[in-house]
Amino acid sequence: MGFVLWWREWTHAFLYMSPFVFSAIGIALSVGISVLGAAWGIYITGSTLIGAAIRAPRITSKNLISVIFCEAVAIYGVIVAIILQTKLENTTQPFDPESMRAGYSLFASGIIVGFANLVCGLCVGIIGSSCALSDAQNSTLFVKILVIEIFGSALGLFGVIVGIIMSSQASWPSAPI
Amino acid sequence: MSGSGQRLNVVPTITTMGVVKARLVGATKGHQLLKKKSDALTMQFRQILKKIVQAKEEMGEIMKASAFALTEAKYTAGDNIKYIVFENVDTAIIKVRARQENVAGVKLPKFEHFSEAGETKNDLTGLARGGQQIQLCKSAFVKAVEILVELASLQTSFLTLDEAIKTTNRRVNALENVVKPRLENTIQYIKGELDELEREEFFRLKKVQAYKKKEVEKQIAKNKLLLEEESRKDAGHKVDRDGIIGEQEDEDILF
Amino acid sequence: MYGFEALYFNVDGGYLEAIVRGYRAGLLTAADYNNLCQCESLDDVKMHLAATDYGPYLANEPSPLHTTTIVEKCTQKLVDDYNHMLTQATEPLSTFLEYISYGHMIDNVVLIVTGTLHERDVHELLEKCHPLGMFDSIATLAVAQNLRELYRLVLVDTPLAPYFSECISSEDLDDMNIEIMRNTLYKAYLEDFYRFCQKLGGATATIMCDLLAFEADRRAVDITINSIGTELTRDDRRKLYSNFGLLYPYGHEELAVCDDFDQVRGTMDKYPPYQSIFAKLSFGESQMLDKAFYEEEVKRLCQAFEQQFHYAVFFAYIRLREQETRNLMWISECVAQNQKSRIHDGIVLIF
Repeated sequence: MGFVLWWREWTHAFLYMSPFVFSAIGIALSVGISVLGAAWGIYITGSTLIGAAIRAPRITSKNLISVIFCEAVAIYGVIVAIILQTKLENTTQPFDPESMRAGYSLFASGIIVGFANLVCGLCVGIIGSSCALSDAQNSTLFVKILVIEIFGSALGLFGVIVGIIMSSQASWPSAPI
Repeated sequence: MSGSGQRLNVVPTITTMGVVKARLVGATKGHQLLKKKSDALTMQFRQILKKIVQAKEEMGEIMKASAFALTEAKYTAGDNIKYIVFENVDTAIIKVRARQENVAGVKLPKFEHFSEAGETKNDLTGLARGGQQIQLCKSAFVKAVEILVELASLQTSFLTLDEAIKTTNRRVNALENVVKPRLENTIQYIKGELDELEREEFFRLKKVQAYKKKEVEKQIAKNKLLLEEESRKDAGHKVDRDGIIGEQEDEDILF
Repeated sequence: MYGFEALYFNVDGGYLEAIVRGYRAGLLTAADYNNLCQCESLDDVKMHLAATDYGPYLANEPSPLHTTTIVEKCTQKLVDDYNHMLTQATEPLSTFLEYISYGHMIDNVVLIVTGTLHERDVHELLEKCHPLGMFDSIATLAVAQNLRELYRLVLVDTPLAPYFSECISSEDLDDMNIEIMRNTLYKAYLEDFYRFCQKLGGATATIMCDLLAFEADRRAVDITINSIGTELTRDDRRKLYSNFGLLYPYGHEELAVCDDFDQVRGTMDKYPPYQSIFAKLSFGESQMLDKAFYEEEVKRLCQAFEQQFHYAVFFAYIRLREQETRNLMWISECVAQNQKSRIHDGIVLIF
């Protein structure tokens, strides 16, 4: 019985939160977590790349591609954050269901993009580190691993696409007619 | 005198010749004996040489095998294994004993190795890696030591024998080429001198005889002349003859 | 967090892992070994090595080259690599790297103790120690006359101290004891290393425990074979086996009572990974066992490189370098001793 009451109180809390809060958190998550993913990926790749380049300096410029792939993840986050932020409009009826829907969809798309980019960044980073190591051992492996890396970085794009579609549904009620 | 190096400086007399002849006999005897010894030594020398060649060939192979056994031990047990083995050793297990052998009066040193029993250290060396290789290496080197000792013994005998043969040969040659010819020359010389003396004596006797003969003939001729003159004086000049005798008598008187 | 090392491993270990993989690329390949086998003299060997990582180390060596010089320089290269990595490493990798050197440390301690017993000069002994197993107070080992003193004065400050607790009981040091002491220490070391790797967890634990288990099993087999026909009793033999690995515990019981090589073979045939090793040897032949074990070890060490984000690569690299030094020693000895026909008997190809 207590649980039900507790649950109802919490759901009520969501009902009484402004959709702008959700939208803002969504935007923040989208860029923040994406950058976290990118940064994580870059240090995984980067530390390996530095070490591997001591023995085989030729790999540095080629393997910057891995770093760039990770960087792209952060850019996805930024782009989506900008798109989401353009969706955020002023409204006089913040607790209108339409407003609530818009707020939730911006929140969700932020989470989608953020976490998709986080794992994408990790994935690309780990593959990038392996790529640097294998390239240092055998330069013919670079292209093969790059293909895998491209697939990995495509994962982030899925999140971006879904996030954009989702955010496109957000519309804010205009002034009362 | 040109041939003085070739003979002894002795007074050529019969007695001296007797002495020198005795010496020559001694020298010949000695020469024969030394020659025999030299032959015996040379035979031994050849045998040792043959053995040395054999042992050396064998040693080459054994050393090669043992060096390689060491490599194998080092390969399996690690490079440090030799130090571990070194440090485990206090005294030598295999020792060398020397004794002498007599070949025709030449004392040859002979070495032989023997191992002190109960010294089985290093048994557990390389327990966790390469113990067997170490044992193999050990036995290989023990074999190498054996052949080395044998070779050392042979080599020393070889050198000693070489020296001995050289000395003996020098003596043989000295007897043959210097002492004996010198003695022979001396004998020859003494004989020659004695002959010379004899011949001189004979010639002198001859000369004396000839002189005597001449004197006798002279006397005879003189006598003959006197006789002729006497006979002639007897015929005509008897007075003269008397006169001469008278003159002599006169002279005597005069004195 | 098994399987998730990839996420955080590179914070501390990424750079060094890449470096050690770079070093691994410098290991001699089959082609290199082929060239080295064609050499006619040690100078040829040097010439071939000039193109490899050993080039700078051998470049200034004067021409009449000795095998020991080559081995020394190869070891030098390994030690330099090791020290470079150790200075860069952070916890727990630095501890891991130190663990790798403890094996040599044990050897050095035992060498010095043996030398001291026979009253050798300590400085002479120090030169013979493996450079990977040096520690600061090693020279003071010479003062000790018995184990208790050795432990109290010197070893208590070294990382080896815990390992001595097992063999501290024997009061006097003689030659038999020393070899047993070495193996007891090594056993304690392996077990400690094993526990440490398990504590590290993840791929490191999986791979390292496998490698260490192999090492422990190999030692068990070698100790068994080498102690056949010696004064070592079965109980003592049993005590020298490490308490982990594929053979633990039932295989150890069987090995402890083996009296000849074929019984060992019979025991090992029950363990499929070792069956293949023993299958290569003909019956009654134990000569090539060491090489077969080396080959298997190298195979396993190479497999450690197949996976990323774990510490076993460091262990594998050090071990492979040691194997390579052994290979080079073998090749140069064969070349120097004109035993070209045997040259392939000792080489364990790494790649």
